[in-house]
Amino acid sequence: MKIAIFVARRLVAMVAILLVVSFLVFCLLSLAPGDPAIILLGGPSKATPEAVAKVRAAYHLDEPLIAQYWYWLQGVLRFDFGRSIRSQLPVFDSIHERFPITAALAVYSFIITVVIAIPLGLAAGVRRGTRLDRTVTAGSLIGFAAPVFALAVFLIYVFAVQLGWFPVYGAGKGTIDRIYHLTLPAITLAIGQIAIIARQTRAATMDVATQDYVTFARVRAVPARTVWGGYVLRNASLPVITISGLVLAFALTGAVLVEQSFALPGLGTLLVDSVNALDVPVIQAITLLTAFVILSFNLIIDVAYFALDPRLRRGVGA
Amino acid sequence: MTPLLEVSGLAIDHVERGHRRPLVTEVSFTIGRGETVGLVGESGSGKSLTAKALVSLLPPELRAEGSIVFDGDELVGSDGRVSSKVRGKDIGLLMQDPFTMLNPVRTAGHHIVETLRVSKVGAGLHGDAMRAEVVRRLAEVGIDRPSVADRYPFELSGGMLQRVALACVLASNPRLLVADEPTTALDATTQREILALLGQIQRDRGMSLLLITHDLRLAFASCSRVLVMYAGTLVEASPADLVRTAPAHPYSQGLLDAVPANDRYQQTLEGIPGRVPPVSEVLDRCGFASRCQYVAEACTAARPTLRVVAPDQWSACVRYDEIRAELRQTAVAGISQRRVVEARAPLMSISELSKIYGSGSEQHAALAGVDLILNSGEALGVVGESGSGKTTLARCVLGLTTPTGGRIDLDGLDVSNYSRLSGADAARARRIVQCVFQDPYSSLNPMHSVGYALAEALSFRVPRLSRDEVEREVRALLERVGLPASYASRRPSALSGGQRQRVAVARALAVQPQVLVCDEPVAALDVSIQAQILALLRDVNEQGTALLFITHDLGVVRQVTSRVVVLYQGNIVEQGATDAVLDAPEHDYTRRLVASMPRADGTWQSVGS
Amino acid sequence: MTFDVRLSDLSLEQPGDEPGREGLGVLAWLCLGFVVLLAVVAVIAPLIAPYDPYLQTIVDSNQGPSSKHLLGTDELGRDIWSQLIYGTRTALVGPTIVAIGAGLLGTFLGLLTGFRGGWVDGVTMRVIEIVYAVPPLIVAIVLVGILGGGYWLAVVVLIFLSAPADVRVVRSAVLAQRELPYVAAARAVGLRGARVATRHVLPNITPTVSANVLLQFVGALVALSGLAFLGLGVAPGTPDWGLMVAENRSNLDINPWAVIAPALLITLLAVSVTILGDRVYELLSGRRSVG
Repeated sequence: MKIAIFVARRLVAMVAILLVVSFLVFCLLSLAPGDPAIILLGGPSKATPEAVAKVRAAYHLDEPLIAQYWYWLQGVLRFDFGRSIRSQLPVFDSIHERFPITAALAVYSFIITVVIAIPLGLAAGVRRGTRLDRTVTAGSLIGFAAPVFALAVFLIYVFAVQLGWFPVYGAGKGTIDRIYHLTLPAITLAIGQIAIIARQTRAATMDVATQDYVTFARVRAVPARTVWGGYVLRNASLPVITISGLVLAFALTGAVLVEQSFALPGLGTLLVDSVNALDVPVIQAITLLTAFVILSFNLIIDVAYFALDPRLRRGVGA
Repeated sequence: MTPLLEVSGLAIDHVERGHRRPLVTEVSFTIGRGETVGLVGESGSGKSLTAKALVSLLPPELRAEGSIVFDGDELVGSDGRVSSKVRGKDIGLLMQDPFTMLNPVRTAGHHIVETLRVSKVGAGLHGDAMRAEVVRRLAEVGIDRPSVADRYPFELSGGMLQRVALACVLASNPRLLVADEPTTALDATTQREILALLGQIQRDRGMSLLLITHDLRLAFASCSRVLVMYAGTLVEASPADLVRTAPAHPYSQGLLDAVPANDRYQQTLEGIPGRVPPVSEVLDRCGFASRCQYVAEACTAARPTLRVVAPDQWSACVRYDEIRAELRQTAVAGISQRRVVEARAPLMSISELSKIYGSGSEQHAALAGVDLILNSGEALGVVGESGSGKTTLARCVLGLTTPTGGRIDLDGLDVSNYSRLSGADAARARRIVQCVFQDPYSSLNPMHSVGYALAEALSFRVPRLSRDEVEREVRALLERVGLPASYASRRPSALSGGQRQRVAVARALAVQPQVLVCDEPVAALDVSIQAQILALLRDVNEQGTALLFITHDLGVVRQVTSRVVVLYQGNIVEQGATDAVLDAPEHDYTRRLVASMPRADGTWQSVGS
Repeated sequence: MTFDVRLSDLSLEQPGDEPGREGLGVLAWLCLGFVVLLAVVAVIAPLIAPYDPYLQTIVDSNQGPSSKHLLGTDELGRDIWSQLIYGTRTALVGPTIVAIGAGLLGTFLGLLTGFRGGWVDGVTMRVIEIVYAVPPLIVAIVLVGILGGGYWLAVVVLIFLSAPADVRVVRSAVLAQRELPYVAAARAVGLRGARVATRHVLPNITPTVSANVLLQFVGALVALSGLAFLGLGVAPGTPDWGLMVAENRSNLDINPWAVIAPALLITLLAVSVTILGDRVYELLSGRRSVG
């Protein structure tokens, strides 16, 4: 029962924030310099008086802002974001078309991250001060500080241009080819995430390894395997889960830069192209989608926390 | 009969890049089967390291030398590591803090099952049979409700957690139990129960017990033999009675004198001056020489060794034969008369003070209607355990918390709600009442020098002082609390716990308050330092400042206060003259409290006279 | 793998000794030296750059390194080495302004919310939650793009997008310090709120704030050069490292230096300042940040 109330409260908060964000996103059109009608038409060259009148009517531009927002919101809830100014196609279709690439990139890099970062962090945390630990720390620092597009350029030069192991640009056709094309981008995107997660895992592990309950387990001759699983991992996972929100934000940002670097036809490049062309409806849709993804993810994290930490479950408060 | 454990010449060094730093040297002792031995020492003595060595828990940078023979098996390897083959099976370790010993995400029962399986004692047990075994183990440690097995650690009290942890350690049926300060983190009333439980289990199982503690009185009450450690080495090993009546080492005598008696008033409070030296600095001499009142040439000429000085008594004092008689005299023998204080006007009066946290059905009353009066120049003790409301009381008086109801009157000023006071009134209130907190490590701003902290406090009493005047006042304050003037430029991190507490007292005195609220001011300090701070506070009181002294330690309250009030769950259950209340408690709770602290002679007062 | 806990992790019954190396350390000095070098280069750029970075020469375009052009030229014949030299300016000025601006704004708000609590705290935290609903760089891309682009616009936008991180850090640091007895003691001596905040708590959170300002610099550097890479931010043709990476990418096989050099410089600067941030924290607080 407690968990249902908890989820309900977080859900309400999430919806509230989404509404505020949606309003701000809606206001982007007003924010852009120039007459909204002209912007929606694609520039002064297309702004014949009839076209302008049509646009004004279609988008209710003569009504108060709140009313405009209301119309827009209604459309959004039906997944209707209007039409892209560049392609004149429904925004939803553009997004739908590009989504799979971005999703594939995200999942691919996530897998690489988890497989590498967590064991590295665990090992470094338990063996503080050794060469492995120092390497992991140094690597994390570089991986986190280095800009994603710089990493992309380095990797492209070494692996694609010089060694020719991977293709430089594009997303490929067909599943195997796609995986092949996405490998270098996924690795690029993963580097920063690995840095964050490894560092946090290491810190959490170090903290847990010195806790009394781990010592007490060793004193009772509990086998190392159980200490790792039931004690260290279980307890260290909590702080690591906390920063996964940060990792997601990093990944989304990085995806935009990676897609641009590798010329992948995903949502990231769509965003950049739309911004450059002032294609407001598309910008609005992608921004709102991003907010939705992040907030949903945060909700899932909160629930996971709730499930993993008995102190929260039994109502003692976090 | 061969002893169960025989330790000879144990030395533990910190080895780093070829650099050797000794931490423990020349420790030798034996533990017989079924025997209870106490290992007593303060911080820096090396007692915890010795315990860790026995269960092979030394960090990788530490090397052990010498010999540890358990039931005929040598545990110390040639590589300096201690074998872990008996750890968790024949030797068990019960750690100090019950709140952190158990895995927070696993139930109590899970821990017991885990240990049962690991030690093979529980091999082959499953389902109901395992559950029955868990219940049986819990019952052995005095937990009658089987539902406790399904509770998580955060749902259990300190006493319960310690029992569960004990059940875990016992699950492997060890022959030697090492208990590292098992009752330090517990309330006094629980303390006696746990010690009694340990004793009982020991007898039932024929188990040996090594009790590590800093509290001599506990060692006397529970152990047949006492080992005293100082600066990394053993200075005395004798039967408990003999350590008490005829100590064989000046440090043992000093420790005995430093413990504030809870059964009588002491004229003087004797600490041991100075600080514990690092082991590496005293390898060629007696470690205690710099603080010893009997020091002579022989003491600093060479390192003394532990030797037999009397039947069954070992001492590391080279001058034992000469000073034997003097060691028997304690500085604080006999009954002393408490100074009579004539009645004075009430300075602070509290009526119906209440503080309620939370709301609705989740309310919790930290204070539930407290009345008390503090007279000018008086030293009033507030005795209570955790959850009694004593700290809440202090915070209300100091204006750090706003009470929910009731009234606090300070010298005619109504300070029931500090936030409603005018600036001038609040300033006046703050000049009447000052405080000294428990934790010397965080009650001073780590970024400010001692001089700055004192000057800041001074500026509240006298806003406009010239630099010279400020320097003079700061120097005077430091002298008052027994610190050299040069300390004004130091930061807290350069001072010891006792020194920091003195600075805290000086800071409070800078304002020249009429009341000094002390919230467990010596609880975090070593025994030998405690006495010094208590003497200082006594002195401050004798010079006219009233004390509101909050503590859980009956010995401390006896020595410093003339009147006492007993708090239990937010209510005052008894009050009166300190001697009267402690000698003949009337309320049930007070009786339990008095019965839970062993007297100086090692006996317990009976529960419920 | 076993669990040997190191000595330094245990409290060895001797309170009062704190670890922490004296001085800055070789690595940190190198990093500081590198940053200072870049700053000097930024100031004296006109004196040491062999060519005007805007000068286009069609004849010499797309050359590799030679005696005439140290690192070659780009597609429009501009000298790479000169562009790198002038690029130090946009790499240092903008991020510094963002770090300091966000730091001031964030520290002020953090202190306020940490101490006051109440509705100020509630409102501020809700606003921050809303800001964090979309990652800062994406917001920057959208805002800067829609408002017309430009380096200084990006700087201003980033100040407001980076401040929430400072608010959070300062606020939690204040909350942690607030509960400590020395703060209670200061209040008991009679100090009022603002004095307690500035005289007592602020010095104790200086390590955190300082380290954070340096990390904000890195974030702003990465963001600004990222915006330049995407074609937002600096005007086309301006000597800027991020822009250079974008403009010369297509000629990666002809003159890799045109791309690698600026990317490397950004990375080195970011890593250097990050190391400095960690080291400053250790030094000021006597503690290691994450071990």
